[in-house]
Amino acid sequence: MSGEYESFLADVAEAVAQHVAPWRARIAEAIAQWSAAGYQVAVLERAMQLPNEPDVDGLLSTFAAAAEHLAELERVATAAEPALAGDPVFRDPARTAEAEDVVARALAAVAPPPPPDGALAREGFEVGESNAAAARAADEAVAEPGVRHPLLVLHGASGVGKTHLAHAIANDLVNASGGALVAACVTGESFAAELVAAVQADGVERWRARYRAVDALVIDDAQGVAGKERTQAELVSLVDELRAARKQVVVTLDRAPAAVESFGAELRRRLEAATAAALDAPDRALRERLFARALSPWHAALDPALLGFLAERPVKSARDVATLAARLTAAAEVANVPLTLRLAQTELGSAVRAPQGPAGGVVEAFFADTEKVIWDWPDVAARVSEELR
Amino acid sequence: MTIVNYATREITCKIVYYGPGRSGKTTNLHYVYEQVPDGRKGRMVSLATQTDRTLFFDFLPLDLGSISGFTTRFQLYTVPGQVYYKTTRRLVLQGADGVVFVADSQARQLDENVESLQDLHANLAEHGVDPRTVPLVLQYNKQDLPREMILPAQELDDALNFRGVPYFAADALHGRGVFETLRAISELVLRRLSSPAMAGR
Repeated sequence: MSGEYESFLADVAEAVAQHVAPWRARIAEAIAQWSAAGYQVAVLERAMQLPNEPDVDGLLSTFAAAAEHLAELERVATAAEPALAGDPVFRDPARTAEAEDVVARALAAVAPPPPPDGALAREGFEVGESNAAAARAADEAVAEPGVRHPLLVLHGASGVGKTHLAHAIANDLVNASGGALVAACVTGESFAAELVAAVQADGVERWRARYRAVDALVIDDAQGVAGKERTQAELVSLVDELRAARKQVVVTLDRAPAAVESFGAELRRRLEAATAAALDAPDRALRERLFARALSPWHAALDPALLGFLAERPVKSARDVATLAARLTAAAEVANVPLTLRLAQTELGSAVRAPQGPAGGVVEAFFADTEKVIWDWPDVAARVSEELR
Repeated sequence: MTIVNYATREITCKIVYYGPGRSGKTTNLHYVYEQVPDGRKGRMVSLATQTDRTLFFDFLPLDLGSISGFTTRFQLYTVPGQVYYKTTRRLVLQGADGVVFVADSQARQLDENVESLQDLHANLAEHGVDPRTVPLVLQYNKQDLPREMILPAQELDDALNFRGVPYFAADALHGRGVFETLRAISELVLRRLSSPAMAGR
């Protein structure tokens, strides 16, 4: 070999080694590999343009993880909808969010998440001082879902209307969209149970996708996930995703977020930072309206004095109102008489007191029953009540 | 022109020898060709007129083998120096990664050298290339001629090398300065691979 040529070759080799960056060669190899597998590699090609060496290891491992995630999404999507196999969206890491949406929609079509109870409409939710703030927050959430109160926490004792209001929000959002939006309403306990079932069936990704598809999520009685770390982690992740996508999330709790023990720091932090609205035991005016609403379908003309009497009773929740109303209605029906103040006083006792055991109603029903049997004589308390009468 | 293909791991450099007619561009390529070991010798394509002037262009492919894992090829071209082959020169110049300007050192050829250099700049500009960004090396050829006939390299440099690029006194017929010139332009071309402007091309 000519000395001049050899020397020239050595110089070129040195220049190549010096100026042709090895990191670009590595990225180029990855580009060739992923391109051959059908993946879009725009992100890697952009990295090639960088003037300085990026974190090549991090870049390539992130890309590989994204490709793996896409493959898993494709697997899940194909199981739900075979026509999705080979969809280009599963070959482009830059479209991962889109691919997740595709999967979520495919799964939602096959197994829609639990919908809100259509009977729990906003129109049926009576508002008073005790729940005015919560109702206002709910209305604002419906007006600007995912924006005004992206995460709304409704808290209060059992039966005060948290579930009703939360479902009402979901129903309103679905109805306002003409059914285009998807809302999921699930209790904390069901959410946890579903996750366990999904883990056992090796279908966590599928389960996740089902909830990721929703436009509004209600987690009712979220205290049901207390002490369940994995469920809480999934819930936190889901809430974060939905909030990032400007979807509406509503959580109901039986107490203020800060008072819930056994919530992990992450979930607690999110709930404490959310808009929280308390629902208290119904105030007197609300109780009157609740009784009027509960009784009106069955009794044409309600005596204001009757409603006044009922409203004076310190019931603790809307559910108690409904229970009492049902009881009075049943008593009137059994006696085949209109529901009057007197009947109510008889049934519930004239004194203003908290509702108690079944005695009163049973007594009235007992005496109204023409086929009463002597050995079914009421208990002592009921007898006393009857004697007083 | 892409000079590094990372996907196929190839480096391809197109180097164009430019200059006035009969300045010794083809002679440069011939000398390089003679030095290439037989196993590495491609076929030198030379389209010459009956009077041995380059009609279209000379093309010498140099396969340098695998360097740092890259199959490395240099493609050396010459352009016809005669003024009336302007279109051909422009075509050959297209996609050049580097240019060697071969000047004729004869004193009476100075105007032709200047004219050819202006022609080079004009043709690069027509390709949309800023002439100041193209790797360029000047070679003052025929320095072996009698001293009374030629201008010394320094004098030529004063007249032609306003960019201050590397220059070499040469006697291409006998090989002096040929590889020095090629080495210099190769270094300039390869150096651009690590500059941000060229990254990833």
